[in-house]
Order: sequence, then structure tokens, then C-alpha cells
Amino acid sequence: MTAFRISQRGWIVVAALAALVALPGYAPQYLVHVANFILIYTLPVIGLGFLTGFTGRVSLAQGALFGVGAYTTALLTTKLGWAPLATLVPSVLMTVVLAVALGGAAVRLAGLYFVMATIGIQQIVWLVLMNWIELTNGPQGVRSIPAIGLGGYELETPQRFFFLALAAAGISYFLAKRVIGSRLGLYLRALSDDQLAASSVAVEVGRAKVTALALSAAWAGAGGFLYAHYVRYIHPDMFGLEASVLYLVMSMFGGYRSIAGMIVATAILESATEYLRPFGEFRMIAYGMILLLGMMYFPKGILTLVRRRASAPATEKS
Amino acid sequence: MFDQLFIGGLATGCIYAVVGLGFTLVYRTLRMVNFAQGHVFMAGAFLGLVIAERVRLPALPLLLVVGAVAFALGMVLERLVFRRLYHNHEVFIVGSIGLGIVLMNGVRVFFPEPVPFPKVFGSTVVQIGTARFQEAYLWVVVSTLVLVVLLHAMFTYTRTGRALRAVAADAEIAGTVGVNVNRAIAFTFGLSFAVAAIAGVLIGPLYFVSFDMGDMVGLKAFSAAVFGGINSIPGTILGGLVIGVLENFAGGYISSAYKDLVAFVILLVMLIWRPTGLLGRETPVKV
Amino acid sequence: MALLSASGVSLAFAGVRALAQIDLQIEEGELLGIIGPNGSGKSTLFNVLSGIYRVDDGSIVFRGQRIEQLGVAQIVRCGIARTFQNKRLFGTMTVLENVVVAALKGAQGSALGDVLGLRSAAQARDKAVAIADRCLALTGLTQSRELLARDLPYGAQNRLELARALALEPTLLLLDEPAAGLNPSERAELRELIRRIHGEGLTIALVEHDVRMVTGLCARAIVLDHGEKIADGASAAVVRDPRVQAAYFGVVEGEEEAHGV
Repeated sequence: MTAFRISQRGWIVVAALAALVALPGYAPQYLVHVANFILIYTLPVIGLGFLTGFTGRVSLAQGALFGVGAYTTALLTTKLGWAPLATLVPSVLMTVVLAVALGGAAVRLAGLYFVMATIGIQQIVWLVLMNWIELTNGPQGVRSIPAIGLGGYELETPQRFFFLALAAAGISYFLAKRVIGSRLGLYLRALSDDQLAASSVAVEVGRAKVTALALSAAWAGAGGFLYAHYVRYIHPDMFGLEASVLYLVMSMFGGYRSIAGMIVATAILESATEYLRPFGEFRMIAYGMILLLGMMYFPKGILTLVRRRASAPATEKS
Repeated sequence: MFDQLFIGGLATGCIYAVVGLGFTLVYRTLRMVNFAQGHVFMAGAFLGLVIAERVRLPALPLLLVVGAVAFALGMVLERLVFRRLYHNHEVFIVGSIGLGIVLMNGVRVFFPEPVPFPKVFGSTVVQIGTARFQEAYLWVVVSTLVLVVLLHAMFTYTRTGRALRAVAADAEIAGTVGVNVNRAIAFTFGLSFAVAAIAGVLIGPLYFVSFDMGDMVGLKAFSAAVFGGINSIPGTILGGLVIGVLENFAGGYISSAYKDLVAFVILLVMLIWRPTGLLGRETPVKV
Repeated sequence: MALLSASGVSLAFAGVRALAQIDLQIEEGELLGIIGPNGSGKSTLFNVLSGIYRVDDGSIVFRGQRIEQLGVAQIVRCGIARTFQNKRLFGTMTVLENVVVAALKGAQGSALGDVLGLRSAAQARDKAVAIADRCLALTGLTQSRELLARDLPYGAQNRLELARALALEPTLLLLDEPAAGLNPSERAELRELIRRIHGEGLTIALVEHDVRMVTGLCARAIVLDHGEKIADGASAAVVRDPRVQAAYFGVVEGEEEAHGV
């Protein structure tokens, strides 16, 4: 039971949230732009968390699934003239259906084999996006994706989009926490700890894993939807293996099962890549070094170190 | 056209097989997948390029020199880097990907554009049946054959080879019978780097070399290894050859756009159907 | 009719025979002991009964239903629960959560209900927590309710394993060496606990190395050796059977190691 205690930590959180909500008021456009990306990326990252933190699987297909959500909405709005908001459900649905169709049979595989399968899925989806020119325009990508409009009010600028992104990130966070706190979440944690023991207490392990896959796809698709209507021009290279790796790293750096940690890691890593942008190739070298050194010296995620020092519980309760 | 596609496919297949061997060697010993492997292949190609442009080495010494340097690099990196990544699969995967990114972009700083490779294998054109191709293709196939035979001999007849097999079978027990497990693992990495680098030099003269050529090759070699059986050396070789040839046929007869799909569809289907691969033996843990 | 009846059960791993033509009846309400030297197939038998291994040959009938082809979760839902010799707890979850998972018995349709805060979902959870608390009280773990399972001392982990199996509300309970690693006073407590659970009407099959525990608790016992059943009858008599003694090279603990693996 979460009682509403306003502890010292609580005040910090409230202050941070207030600063966050007011961001477009005082921050330069560029910063709001970066913040939007951070907020959008929390969706595929949290989605990945269902698989990594709570089912103990690693997926390198999240970038492609993010892309499926983005392309679905982009094509529905540009080719069929649908209103953006009407495409949210189809985008999410398409991503989930594709993920379960391609990956449903693979979730039963042991950890490393599952990763291998997700690589296959990632590459197959990316190659189709690249080469099915009649459908996706191939490497040219899809241009002129409309902005999301709420009753005539177009969310065209970063500042306007910010509030939608913030709301989306907030909703996705609370939804995720509720799923983790649900009975399904209990089953996922159990099977992640000991799969055999989980089936020995009547958990339908196969079904739970497919559900986790579907959830991760749903979050990825929703993120892709947002992304398409923000950047308004998408092409396949945005959804390649590098993107999958990035999301995976963000979900790992935040620590094993901490959704808040994943969000913080997303913020840090995305800001870092933005900050390094002027450095060209060295930016990528630095990124590679961050990955490598991070894994070498902080294999359990950076945030678990911080938490341990603050002597907070190691696992989040709902 | 069939012959042309077949020979071409055989050559790329050999490359996938050899690079794939690197994956297999590391997997057998550590049960981990080194995603920097493709970029080692690329780095080997550039190393060969740099040497060949300065020193007029004939083909064989060039291969040996590149192989030796890569071997040493592999051993050093194992000790300094890989050893710290053994915690679990995810950490190793992401860490090795990071290393690959560093390698790729490190090379990119010096070679931002694709570069032609000197024709160290000569440029005479050979004709077999209706197919005409550069003799470099023959070098690729023959070198692969020689490499495989040498490796097999090493594993079967030398003490080092037997030690490596022991560590691959059960590192703990190998340690108790006096095998220096750490050295064996380092040696395995050295070997996996060496074969990948040699593959890079072999393929160099056939195409341009560029900093990003390791990406796709690495992933396809990986698919080849999984397809044939990621803990089976003959399986990986077979997998590489099959994927190389099939992919070329798909490109020639169906559409060049979907050529790349072949490897990954095979990968996915194989994992769902038979995760240990065509010739693999390990029992995977399901549900 | 027996509660559980296995006939001709055979299983081999890569040519090595693990179980050979086992015939076994478990009567409703009894407390059956299963003993035998190391490697005799006791745990394998449990793995077969609980669905972890598939038999090569033979049939297993539980409450009139054939179960040898069923999966682990399905068998649990039929009413058979088990504990593991190498405690398989959910380490990162609390003691309460460990037992609640079992009490829920894998009920599906749960995620949406919980997320939406439906009353039926809350009721299902409350019911499961009530069952869990009862099992924790029975095994003396109520104080440790909020501790993480991996932080428990060994004896408590043992009891948690048992509590979790009880929360499944089984008809047949398979206990796989529950006394392993316990000191004498803990063993006595365990004996009492098993007696109490049995008294409430639960049918129990107990695999144990501690032969004295078996003779103390079980009216009937069967003995396995090299995958075969070599004795079946009143536990006191079975233990004195010369064939059984030969299999063990003596009934004293420790000397059983001489029998290999």
C-alpha cells in the first residue's frame, strides 16, 4: 500500500516534476526538443523493461518494433489521409500482432537463443522497411507526416508537443507500474527468478512470456506513433539495430527492475548523445566507450549503485 | 548465370564461414556471443590494406602477418576487456557491441570513404565451366579449405588444441586436470580474431573495403553459425557456405533487394525449429 | 481405487536407465515414504509424477485421470504439488509474494482486471493473500512475511518451500528431501509439521534420506534401487528387509555415499 507520505525524497520529486512541467516556459527550444526525445524514448525503453527486467530476456528487436508503430501511423496518415489520433490504436495493434507473429514462437527459447531470434526479427523488419518500396518508399522514407491535432490545435512546435509527450510518458509510466503490480507482473517476476519453480506453482509460463512480448511491442508501437508525428519525416535507418541497442542499453543502465531507473538512464544517455553531437565520429567512439566501460564496470546498472547508497529497497514495490 | 552465382556465393559463403568460426570458437568455450566479431573482420581488411600499400608482400605472408597481429590483439583484448564482461549474456553482448562501435568508428576516422584494396591475389581471370571470375575467388575458397584443415589438425593432434576442446567441454574439469583455463580462453579469442582478420584480407581485393562492411557480414556470419550449429565447427562452415550460395541465388533469380533477407529468415526459422542448428549437439533449455 | 496409481513407469536418459517398470500406488490419506540410496531414482520419480520429465513407457493415473502426458502447470492444477530438494524459491520476491503466487494458482485474465482496478481482481488477490497467510502461519513464517526470500536463513527457506506448496491447496503433496541440511531440532519441528499437515487430510509422499524420519512418520514405505522398486510394505518391516539393507550397505547415514553418485 502506498501511503501518501511527504518525505524529504517526496519533496525533491515534486519539485523536479514541477520544473519539468514548466520546462517550455523557461528552457531554450533546443532543450525542449531534447526533452521531447527523452520522453518519447521512455516508451520503447519501458516496454523493453517488461522483457528484460521482468522476464529475464534480452530483445534486440525493439528498434524495429518502434519503427513498425511509426510506419503504420505514417502510412495511414499520409497515404490514406487518416487523422493522426485515429491511428494510435492501429499502430499499437499492428506492432503487437507483428511481434507476436514473428516472436511468439521464439519466447520459449533459452535466453541467448532468444536474443539471436530477436536479431533476426530486427533485421527482417528493417530490410522489409528498406526494400518494400511500393509500401514504405524504402530509403527515401515517408515525408510530410501531419502533426497531431487536438480539436484544431496543432501540436507542431516542440513546446506544444512537449505536453503531449509528457502526458504520454506519464501515462505509460503509471500503466507500466500497474501492470508490474498486477498478478501478471507477479508471474513474470516469478518466472524470471526460476522458470521451473514458476510452472510448479501453476504459472502458465509460455503464455506469460508471450504476454510480456505483446506488452513490450505495445509500448514500442505507441512510442513509434509519437515519434512519427513529432519528427514528421521517418526513414528506415532510424529503426535499425543501433536503435535497438540504444533502447536495450537504456533499459539496462537503469538497473534491473526499476522503471524510474530506466527513465533516468534514458534521460542521461539521450542527453549525452545530444551533447556529443558536434564531435562527429568521436561521438560514436565515445558512445561505444560508454557502452563498453559501462558494461565492464557497472554491469548491474548505474542506478543500482546510487540506490544502494541511499539504502532504498533493491526492488520496486507497486 | 548459375555457375557465376554459385562460385560467387561460394566465395562469400567462405567468408561467412570463416568469420562465423570466430563466433563458434568463442561460444563453445564461453557460451557467449562476441558481437565485435564482424568489426574485427573489417579491421583485419584495413590492416591488410595498410600493410599491402606500404610493403610489397606476397599474398601468403600478408595473410600470416595480419593473422598474427589480430591473434595478439585478440589475446590482449580478452585480458583487458572481455574478461570483465563475463557476468551474464546481456552484459557481454552490449559490451562487445560497444567494442565493435569503437573499432568501426576508429577506422572511420582514418578511412571515411570506401577504399579499393590492392590486388594481392593477382588479377588474372579464370574460367570454370561457363563462369568467369578473378583468381582471387579461388584464393578465398582454397584458403578457407586450408584454414579449416589446419584448425582441425590443431584441435585433434596438438596439446593446445586438446586443451581448448577440454575447456570448451567443461572448463571446471579442464582446470582440475592442469589446463591453464585462462590461457586457453585467451588463445580462443586470439584465434577467433585471427580468422576474422584473415577473412577480411581475403575478401578485400574482391570488393571495396569500407568501415561499415563489418556490420552486415558479422550478422550474416552469426546467422550462418547459428544455422549450422553455433557450437559445431563443421556446422558453421556448412552454414556459411549454404547461406552464401542461397543468398546469391536469391539475389540473381528473385530480386537483389531481398538478398539480405535470406540469412535472417534462415536464422529465425532455424531458431524456432531447431535452436542447436543443423549439426549442433547441445540441448537447449526450453520453457 | 488408489488416489494415484503408476504402472510400468520407465525412463532412460541417453541409454542410462533411470526408472524401470515402477508400479506404485498411493492411497488417499496416507503418508508414504520413499527411500533408497543416492541415484536410485527417487527424485526422478517425483519429476515424472510432477510432469517435469515425460515417461518413456507406462501410465500414471491420478483421481481417475491419466496424467503422464500433462505439463507441469496442468498437473499442479489437477491437485499435485511438490517441493524441490534444491530449494527453488523466487529469490527476489518477498516471502509473502512467493506464497501468493502459488495461492493464485496461475489464474489468468488477471492483468487487465488488476490494471483497471476491477473489484473481482482485488477480491481474487485478497483471497490469495488470505490463503498465503494461513500457510505462512502453519509453517511459522508470519514474522518473515516481508523479507526477501533470498535473505532467509536455510531452515526458513525450507519452510517457505513447504508453505508455497501448501498454498496450492493440493490433494497430493510430494516432499522431496525436506529435511536435507537441517539440524536435529529443525528435523523434529519438520516432523511435527508434516504430521500436522497429514492430520488435516492431505495425502503425502515423502522422499527422504533420513530413514528414521521415514519410519517415524510413515506407516508404509517403498524402496528404490537403481531405478527399480525393491520393496513395498510397512515401513518398519521394509527397513529391516535384507535386500534393502544390502542396497544401502547399512542403514546408517553417510555410509550411503559408498553406493556412488
